[in-house]
Amino acid sequence: MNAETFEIICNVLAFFMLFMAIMISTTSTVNRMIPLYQIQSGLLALITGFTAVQFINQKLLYGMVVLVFSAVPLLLLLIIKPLLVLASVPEDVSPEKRIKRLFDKQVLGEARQRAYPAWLAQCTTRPIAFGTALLDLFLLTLAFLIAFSLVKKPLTANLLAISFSLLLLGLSVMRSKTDIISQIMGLLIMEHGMFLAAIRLIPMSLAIVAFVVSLILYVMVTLTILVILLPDIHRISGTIQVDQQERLQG
Amino acid sequence: MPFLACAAVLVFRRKPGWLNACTILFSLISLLASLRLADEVLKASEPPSFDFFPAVALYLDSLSIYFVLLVNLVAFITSIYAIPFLKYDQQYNRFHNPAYFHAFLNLFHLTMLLVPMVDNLVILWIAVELTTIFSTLLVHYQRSQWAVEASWKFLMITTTGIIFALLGTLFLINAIPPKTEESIMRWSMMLNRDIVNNLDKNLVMLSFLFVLIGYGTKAGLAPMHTWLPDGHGEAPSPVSALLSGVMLKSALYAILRFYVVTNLVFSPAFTSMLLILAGLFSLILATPFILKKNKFKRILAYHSLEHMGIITFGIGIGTSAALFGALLHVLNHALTKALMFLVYGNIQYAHSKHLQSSSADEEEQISGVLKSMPLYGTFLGLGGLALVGSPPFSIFMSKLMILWSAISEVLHPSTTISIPRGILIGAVVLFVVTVTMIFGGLVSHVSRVLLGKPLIRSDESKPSWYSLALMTPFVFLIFMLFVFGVCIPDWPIDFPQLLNNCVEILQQGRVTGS
Repeated sequence: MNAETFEIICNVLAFFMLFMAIMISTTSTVNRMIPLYQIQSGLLALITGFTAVQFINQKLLYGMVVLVFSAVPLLLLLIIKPLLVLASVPEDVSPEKRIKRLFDKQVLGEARQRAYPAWLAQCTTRPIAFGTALLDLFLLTLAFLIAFSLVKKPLTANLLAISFSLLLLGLSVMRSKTDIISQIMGLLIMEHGMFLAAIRLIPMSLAIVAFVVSLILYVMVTLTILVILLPDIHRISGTIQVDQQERLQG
Repeated sequence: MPFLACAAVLVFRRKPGWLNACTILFSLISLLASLRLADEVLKASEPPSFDFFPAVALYLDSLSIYFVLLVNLVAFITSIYAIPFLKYDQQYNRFHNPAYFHAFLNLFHLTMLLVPMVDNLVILWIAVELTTIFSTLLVHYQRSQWAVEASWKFLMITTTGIIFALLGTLFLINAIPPKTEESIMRWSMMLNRDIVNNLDKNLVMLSFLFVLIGYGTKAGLAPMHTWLPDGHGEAPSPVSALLSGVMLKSALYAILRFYVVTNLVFSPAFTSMLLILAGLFSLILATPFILKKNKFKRILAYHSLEHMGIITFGIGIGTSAALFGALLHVLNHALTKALMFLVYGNIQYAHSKHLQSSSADEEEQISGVLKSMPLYGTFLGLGGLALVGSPPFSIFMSKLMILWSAISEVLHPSTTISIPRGILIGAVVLFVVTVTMIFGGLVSHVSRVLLGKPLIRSDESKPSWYSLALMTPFVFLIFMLFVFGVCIPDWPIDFPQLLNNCVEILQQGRVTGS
């Protein structure tokens, strides 16, 4: 396959990623968001894999590196659900044990049974407004306008627009949802957008490696929130609602 | 290469046991090493750079060494005050864990040292992000209701913001014409004339915008500053000192690097406009929050917002004198703010018994410090005076420099920086008004703490060696503030020369020998 075909395939996949992001933004409960997010991660892993193959044809080393990095979205795909489940259930354990519990099936099963009602409870607190969808559309238009006015090549511009709108949609998700888990979902969507941009838009060089490393760090931050901060928030306020976190003002 | 040794020990010292001594000793070593290094950098004709691995190269020009010095100085003084903090913490915190605290304090120090030293712009982003992680864990350390909420807000807002900085960096890479990719991202090589002239202008402009939003969030520029009072207010005092004193400046340093590149591509008017607006907006937003009644540490945090505004304003004016003043202000503010946070922290510990018996919200009740703890009261008073910018302290000097150069820019507009005159006049007026109002606000807050009915009985009648030893760094800091207010010393290193070099770097990208 030549480079053009690769480019087109990646564009199509990226469009599906965008579609998932819009779905997430307009979904109201966490348990419906998770599969959508997982599909998005899978698509990103596919795009990364394609890019790696493309790079291997030109320069073996970089291609291999990118191939290894495609494991990151895959890993997120697998790990996100247990992480979110455990983070939604308040439990007073030390951070070291929290990581171990991720791989304990029994603990997970119990936690899941307690997490689902908690997520469903979010659903009733705030229905997704029509305004959110409108805002999303506006953000999308903005992203595409900016991207196409910047870059001449349509396929590249398209990818730039998609990753840019993923960033904006992530922000929109953070704005419209009221529970902490969905806020993290927003962060993760933004991270996907950046990952897409880093993989597809940077000319092949060492810079791409540096970029992907920095994105892994970004994922680490999110995990820090999930593993270290969230359980403490639970311990103290007993809820995952953002409105409850308003003691510090002015 | 003394700094190699310094970096090595910084990594090394993470082992627990003799924690306090270890931290203090190593931060002293790294301070001395950086002084020595600064001397070498000043003498060298080419800025030294070290390539360990193509992507992770270190590059040290005057600007970076200036920030390295700043970080080391504040970190050294802060490390001393980890002792009283941990002592207090031991009594009142059920999650007391000194090894954890020291480990992250040192890691935080290390990452903040990395920020000004790295050459690669993506690695710069990584370093800034690392400072976020470690400082969040430090804010989170006490694990009280407030601390957890503050660290949550801090982490969410800064990570959301900073991803835009990464996007900005990505745009800058794409702006570089193809076939010069080998030099990509190396800041030292970006300054090359061939590369600068061929950069894609639109992308560079967009890149600077995003970088300003991204790192601006971290530097606490309004309107992305909302994490700042929470983070500073709820963190342990030594950490607040580090956050306000140097972490904000590390983010500022990142902005400065992009500022130089953008200025080489465009006329400086574009960046000047943006920075002046950002600075003024921070100043205006900080004012009402300082005037209103609030926790003292939160007041100090809003005051950091004001000072970041002043610094950004100074950089926005962009003449040599303004840049000089802004850079000097970075140092002055870091020292003064560290002094204030640390002194106030110690006052808080002394009042801890009283505070614990009542609810934590009544922390605002601390008053009459001048009577109950006369020495600390004096330090706080002097620090407060220095902070609001009264002579003979150094902040007065640097504020005056910035204001003076702004006014002279209005009177005799230079040809290189063409900001519309009306805007500039309005900006200067706003600057003066807000600074004056903040002056009044802070004085009233400081006097609230200092005067009034003392809450605790004086325990300074027979001072122990320990408490006297704790005070010496404060004396030293106030002395330094005074010295910098009167003249800029050229010992132990040639500060005027260093600052001049920095200004030259900000204007042209490198020192053109003299």
